Amino acid sequence: MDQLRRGTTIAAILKVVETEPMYAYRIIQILEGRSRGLIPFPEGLIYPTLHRLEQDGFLESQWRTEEGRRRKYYAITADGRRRLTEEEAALRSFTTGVLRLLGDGVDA
Amino acid sequence: MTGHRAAGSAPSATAMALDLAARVDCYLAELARGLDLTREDNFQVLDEIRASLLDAAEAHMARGKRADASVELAVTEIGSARQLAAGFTHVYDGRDTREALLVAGLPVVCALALRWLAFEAGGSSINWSPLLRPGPFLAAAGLLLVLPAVPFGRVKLAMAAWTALWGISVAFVVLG
Repeated sequence: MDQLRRGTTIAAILKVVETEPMYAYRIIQILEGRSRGLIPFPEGLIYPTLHRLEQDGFLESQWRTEEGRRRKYYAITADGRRRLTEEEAALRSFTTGVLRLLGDGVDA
Repeated sequence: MTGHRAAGSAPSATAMALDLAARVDCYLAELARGLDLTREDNFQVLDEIRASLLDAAEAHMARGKRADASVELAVTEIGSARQLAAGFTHVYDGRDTREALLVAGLPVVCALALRWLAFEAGGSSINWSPLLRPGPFLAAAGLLLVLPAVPFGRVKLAMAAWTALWGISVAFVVLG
């Protein structure tokens, strides 16, 4: 379950920054909006995950100052896009498998 | 931070901002105590969290919450400073270990290369005598000596590993 949770968090973060660079607080807001409480994304988990993704080369960052506040913007890298594709495929496959197990309208 | 307020009067925007900043600084101080990172990483983590807490507190205030309640909510949402610090330390530990291994491994590789190139029986692998001329030799040795002090975060750890492995490497070359 930890692996699934980690994969979900990584895919969700990469998906949010797929189209434009974003700072952590905004990423968290979007994640909360998208998940509508169905999947909890504890903030304390998001920040270290962002740093991990940056260290692993899936994200790159840039500091910007807006209205006197320094914000760290994260952008997806080419490796990040590849990782996102992999994580999405894995999650879709897993979800399909679970729905099949539950007999929930997915053909065998 | 509230002593400058007149009793019974509504807090000014400046006073509220100061209160908010003070509570955020308090959280950041606790976070900083738990972080075991390089100075630069520390600074960047604290800056990022400060911006997020202020953003979150301002969002709550915009939804009608009082300043003190807003900042408390922001702190609650981000979670325990100790746990957050542990999360960051866990992430950066891996990188520091990789750096330390790189620094420590470098002299071993150099020593093995030196042994193969210069100390081959009869010195026949290459014409190695130019390697021992004082100028180039000292330049190469000096470069290797200062390397660990330049780009690596955990200098103390790297230096300890580097010194130990240099000692082993030299012993290996001289005695081997």
